[in-house]
Amino acid sequence: METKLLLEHAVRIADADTSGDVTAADARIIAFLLENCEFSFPQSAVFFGDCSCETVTRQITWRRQRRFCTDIFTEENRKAVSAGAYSGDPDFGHTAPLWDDILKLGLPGLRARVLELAPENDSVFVQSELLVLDAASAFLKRIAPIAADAGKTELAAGLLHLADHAPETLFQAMQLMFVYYTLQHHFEGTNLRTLGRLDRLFAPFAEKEDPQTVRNLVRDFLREIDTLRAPANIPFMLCGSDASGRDLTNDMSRLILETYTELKPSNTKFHILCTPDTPKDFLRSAFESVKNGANSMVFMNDRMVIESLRKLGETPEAAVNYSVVGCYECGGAEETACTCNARLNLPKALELALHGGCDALTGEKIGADTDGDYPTFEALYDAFCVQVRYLARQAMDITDRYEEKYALLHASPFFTATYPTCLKKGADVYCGYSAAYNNSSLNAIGLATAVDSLAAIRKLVYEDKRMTLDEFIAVLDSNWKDQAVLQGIIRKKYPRYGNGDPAVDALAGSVVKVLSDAVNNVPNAKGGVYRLGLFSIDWCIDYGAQTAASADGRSSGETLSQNTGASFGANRDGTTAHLHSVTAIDASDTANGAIVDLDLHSSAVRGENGTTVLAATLQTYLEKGGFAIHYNVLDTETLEDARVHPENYPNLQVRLCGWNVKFTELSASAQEAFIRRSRYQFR
Amino acid sequence: MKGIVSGIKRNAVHDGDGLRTTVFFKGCPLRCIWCHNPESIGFRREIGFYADKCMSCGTCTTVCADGAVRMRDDLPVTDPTRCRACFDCTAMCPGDARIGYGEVWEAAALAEKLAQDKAFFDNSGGGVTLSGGECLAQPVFARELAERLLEKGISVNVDTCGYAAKSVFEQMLPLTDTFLYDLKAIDREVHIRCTGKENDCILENLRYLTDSGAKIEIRYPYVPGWNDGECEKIGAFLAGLSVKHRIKVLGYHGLADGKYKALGLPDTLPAIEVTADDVGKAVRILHNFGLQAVNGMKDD
Repeated sequence: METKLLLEHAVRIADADTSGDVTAADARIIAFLLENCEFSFPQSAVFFGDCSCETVTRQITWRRQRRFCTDIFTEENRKAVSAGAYSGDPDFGHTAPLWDDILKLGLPGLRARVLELAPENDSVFVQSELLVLDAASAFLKRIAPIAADAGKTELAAGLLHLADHAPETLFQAMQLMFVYYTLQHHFEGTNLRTLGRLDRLFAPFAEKEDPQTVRNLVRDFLREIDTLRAPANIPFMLCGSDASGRDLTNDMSRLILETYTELKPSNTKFHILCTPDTPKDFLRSAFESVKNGANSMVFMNDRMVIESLRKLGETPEAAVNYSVVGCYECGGAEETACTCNARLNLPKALELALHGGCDALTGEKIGADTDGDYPTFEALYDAFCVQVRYLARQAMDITDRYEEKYALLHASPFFTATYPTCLKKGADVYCGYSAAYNNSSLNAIGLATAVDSLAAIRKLVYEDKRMTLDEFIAVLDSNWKDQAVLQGIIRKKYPRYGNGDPAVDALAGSVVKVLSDAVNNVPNAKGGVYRLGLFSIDWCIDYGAQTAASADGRSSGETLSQNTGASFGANRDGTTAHLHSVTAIDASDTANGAIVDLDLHSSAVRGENGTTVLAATLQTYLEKGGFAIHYNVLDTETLEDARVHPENYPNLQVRLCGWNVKFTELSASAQEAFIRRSRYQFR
Repeated sequence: MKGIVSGIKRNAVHDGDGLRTTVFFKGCPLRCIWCHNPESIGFRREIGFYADKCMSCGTCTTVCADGAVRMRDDLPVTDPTRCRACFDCTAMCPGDARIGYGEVWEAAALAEKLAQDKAFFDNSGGGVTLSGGECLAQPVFARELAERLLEKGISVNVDTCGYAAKSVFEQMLPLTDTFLYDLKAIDREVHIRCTGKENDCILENLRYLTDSGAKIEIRYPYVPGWNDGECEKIGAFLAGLSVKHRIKVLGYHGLADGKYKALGLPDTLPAIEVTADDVGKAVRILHNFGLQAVNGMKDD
């Protein structure tokens, strides 16, 4: 059955359900899809193939959202959201199933565990779980002959094995990852965000095989996951530590890195979970790969991630077995981290403090009542904090109102089956908030823009007394009209975040503390808590477009600063100074992710010493308590040439915000902006 | 002890081992016609003016307490007899068109600032490189700075043209990790033509450092038409020393022409382009003398 018909039928099943809980309806829809979707095996397929039902369950969820989520935004919320002050969303993604359990148990083992752990075996929940797990086995048996007909006998045999058994070989283990990824992503519509710690998952299977077979399989696996249709790439992880603090880097970590370096896949990114004991030669190899244009590695600070999750009240076991469930966000074992719920525009909070709670562009009252009379910088800063707390609360209220409706929106039986805690509670992970940690998130965007603006006002108005606050607000309201000199001086000469200036960095540290107090461990609607993140992805562009001229010299509509990095062009003193500033933030308060992107010109990291310097930069950043770091090693000439001759650079990757894109697929204006940025930074 | 510095560059990757911060001392006894740091030639504070960045706002004329800057045809003109190089105007220039060269530092304060990056130095095997201009032309300041850095456990490299009294090298020897030693010509007349000074003490000091067991990397700026003919002689000289040092051949580039103009200095830069292949020829000649020669335009 083709997608359109599948969707029509799924809608009928959904509409027939009046139970007030979608667990049973979604199980029926998924079973129906498994039974009826079209399935094919591309010529290149080694492990699995493509189904025709990719978006069906997601569309069902959207339909329900439109139907049930009608009273989410207050009138003020609506004005604030359209002014770009904050927002909130439901998030049925950014999750990690327990891959270890999936590979250990297989489909039949997961089924048996449902019966073993669930409190009542005749409940709607258990029946729904059994329905989908049985349908998955039947599905594998249905498509195995299609694979055999396509001449893929090993693939077909593997599918038949996995229908009734746990994986025994490395091939089957890899195949089950594809199967379970597809069951979650395409059938139940959960935006799964990691393939797990591949080195740890594969090692026990690889031990039983000869090395050449293992090499070939790893190569095939990396090639094929590159073809998975996943938004913003589908990442995996390497290294990390265990409960005793031992570094887990193994031969499989090395083999995967080596194979990745050789293949240069274009749609794959991965996270290296760095401990103090991650072998130096492993990191050097990683940096050699980065220097060769593999811009898709993110280096995570294992120690800080674990600490941040512990501060959210997670057990040591849950924290140490965390996953990176998105671009940089981390969730503990059996946690639904929901890392893209609420977000707020930090520079907008300052804009509101300067305008009595009103948006400077729309004139609408969307913030807290702050009077606007600030005799001291401290008084202004307090008002800014009041606005931050207010916007955060509003954004979390929106999120809460969405999350209160989860039972009406979306069930995830395959994902749920991997969490023993959910089984013991006998409820779906989303409909019943049954994970060990049912958390929510808030991301604050534009940290450097806000900090630089505060620092500029402090110097201009309160220290140097060059003009009064009201006069300066008038300059901002005019969008620097006839004030190019002042704008230039503030941009070029004023103290700015990103240069290791202790006074400015301290301001950044205290803003993050204010955010942390307003967000971290604040109860949500699901029996869990909120988590703070500081990553911006492309929101910094959208929010920038809606933010008036700011005191840091930024014109109205210009992009806000990205992630935890300095504002574009503000870092005048190189990488080390930049990282001094970034590590002034307490990263143990940013479980939901904090990342700095370092764009380095290839000439700056040339040769053996270049690799030494990259590795040392990472080590120092980790020791100083950074959360995550990512390197783009670029060559301006290469980018120029790629713009003119895209046909010669099919795989040139650059990392944009949180994910990798092919440079040649960027818009002309985005290409130009990227080249401009690289030129500017590599002078 | 105070010294004058024309710039500080953090994250230097090519001035010795590891990640380094390079301190450019202001002032040099030589006048190399190819100098790409002309802001480091003079020993006094000076202001560079980059006309292409000027917003013609006139801020410099209003902040100058000495009335040394006037606008003419929408561009500021500085009266050198009145300008004290106080840098009030550079601090307020919104286009970064006026840049002040020559910050005066106390050695202790400078060492303190440089030590901010100690963790990066330690993890990379890097440190601080004293360069210039000619760092040894301010010998007392250089020595105190090196001592203070060593006290903090920071490695010191000295990037020198070699034109200094032997006693200065005697003092620096125990404080220096690696000398990055420029060798521009062996022939005395060629050296005078290229740099304005004879090279007797340069060769003498290099022999002294070599015989004293100093760690040395030679740098040979390769400028066709000026000192390319010196390659064989440099090879022979180095091969005759008691230790065969590694030598890096640096390809000349004329990218500094904007700085000459900004500083109002006559542009002496040769109008030539050097490719990595040109440098490769010199590297091959040096190899023939049994030297470990490196092409600075390709490798490190």
